[in-house]
Amino acid sequence: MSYRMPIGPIHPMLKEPINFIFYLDGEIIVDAEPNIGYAHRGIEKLAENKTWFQNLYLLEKICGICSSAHQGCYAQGAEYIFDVEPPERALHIRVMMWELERIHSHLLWLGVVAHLLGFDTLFMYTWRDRERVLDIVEEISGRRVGYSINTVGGTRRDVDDNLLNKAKKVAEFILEQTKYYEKVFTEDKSLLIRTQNIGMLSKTDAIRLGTVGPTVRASDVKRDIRYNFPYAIYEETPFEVVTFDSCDVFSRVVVRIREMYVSAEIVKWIAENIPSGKVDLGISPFKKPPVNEAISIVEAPRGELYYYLKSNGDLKPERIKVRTPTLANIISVIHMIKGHYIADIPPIVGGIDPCMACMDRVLLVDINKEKKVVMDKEELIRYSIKWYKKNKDIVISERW
Amino acid sequence: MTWGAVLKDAFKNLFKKPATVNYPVVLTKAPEGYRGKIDFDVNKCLGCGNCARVCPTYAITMVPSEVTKLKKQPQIEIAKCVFCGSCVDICPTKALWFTTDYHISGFTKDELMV
Repeated sequence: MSYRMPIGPIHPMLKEPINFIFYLDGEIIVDAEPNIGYAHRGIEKLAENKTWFQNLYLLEKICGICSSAHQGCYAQGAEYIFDVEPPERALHIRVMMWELERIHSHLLWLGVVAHLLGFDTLFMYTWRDRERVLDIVEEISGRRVGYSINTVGGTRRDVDDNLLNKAKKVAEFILEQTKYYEKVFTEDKSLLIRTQNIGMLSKTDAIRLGTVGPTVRASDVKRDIRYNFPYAIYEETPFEVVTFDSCDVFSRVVVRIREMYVSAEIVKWIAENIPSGKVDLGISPFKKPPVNEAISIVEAPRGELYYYLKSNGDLKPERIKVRTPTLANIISVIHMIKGHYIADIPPIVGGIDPCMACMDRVLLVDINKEKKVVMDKEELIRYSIKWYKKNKDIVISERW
Repeated sequence: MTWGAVLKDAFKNLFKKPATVNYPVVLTKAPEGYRGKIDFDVNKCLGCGNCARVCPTYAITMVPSEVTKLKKQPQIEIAKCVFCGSCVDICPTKALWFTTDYHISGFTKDELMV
């Protein structure tokens, strides 16, 4: 017997609003439909009404966990538009914040996965250790989340030797704790039963569906923006791209744990090799940029983060377009989930580290016709007028 | 593959101090450089209005004043503030600064005005 089961937008399994419709054959999932848009906040439109410097603090609010990745990515693009080169020391601080952010994001995710699998002790342990990272981030920038450390032309605060030593100590602590988490996640039977051979995504499918970040690296594809298109100081930073080949939820866990080693090593390397000099070029917030456009990509904790910026020579940007990693990954969930049981939904959906509030932007997906439509304003208005003319009677009878 | 890989540590933790702080009774100290509630000294202010122009959330409005040189002074709505520090950075006379106070709540809007 077949069923149609909606989950969300508000559901205990989901941490953020999204709606899934699962088509079931008994307990087995035959097909799934994600419906996004429940956390749409109109940030892109809002960004067109603020100045280039005001947008630094608006765009970091897109995501609470990867705020520095958003702000840094925007600052990197804006620096290209303003035609300035940030100082080396500023780039080192920026990368250190990105890597500290990756560590605390992955620790948060490990806790969430442990919680989704009913292992709340481990959830408490990972979040306890995450506090150490948040404390050092707070000392460097002044805030636990929403650090506001980046600006166009560098960073807003410098770090002294004392803070660098502290960051190094935190990195060493994380290296030690990560060993423990790797041992627990790869040895504990109750975790292995729920993660191994669940949510398979083969290498070819991962490439075909355009997945990004740890999700694609867990399918044994060496795709990392830091490695493929080095930005900031990643060209001279020694690091390895972590991949794992079991292609299931377990693989995603292992990749994220091993990425924490890599990030901690990068933080240690920066603490030892940071050059001296100034951190900010001191560009006035009222400076107008030249007419220009830029694409900026960074490797956020969840995958490739893409910004498109366009300037028309005014104090305010003409257009800002953001594509966050969850939007690229959410499609792969449909593929992963087919053939699994209802009880496997939480680890599979949680496995891509979804961040819904980041994702909800203007992309219309017509699932029935299996095509994506991106409309501009005029088209959308024409479409809506036409649709309402056609469906007037139905809409009115439904609503009143 | 074993059962209960965290059991050993779970037992050890029974005899350790808690990792959390008993918040309303014990207060943690915010670090130096913490971006808490904004404070303002009207005697240093020129009334230039740069702080109101850079504020990303338009939390600062310029109101008439007798004290400042340009006869205007900023009024900050803490409820709208996102603590980015743009105003603190741009102030030419350092009349605005961050305190380490993180208890920012009130029953009326006037309590959250600086």
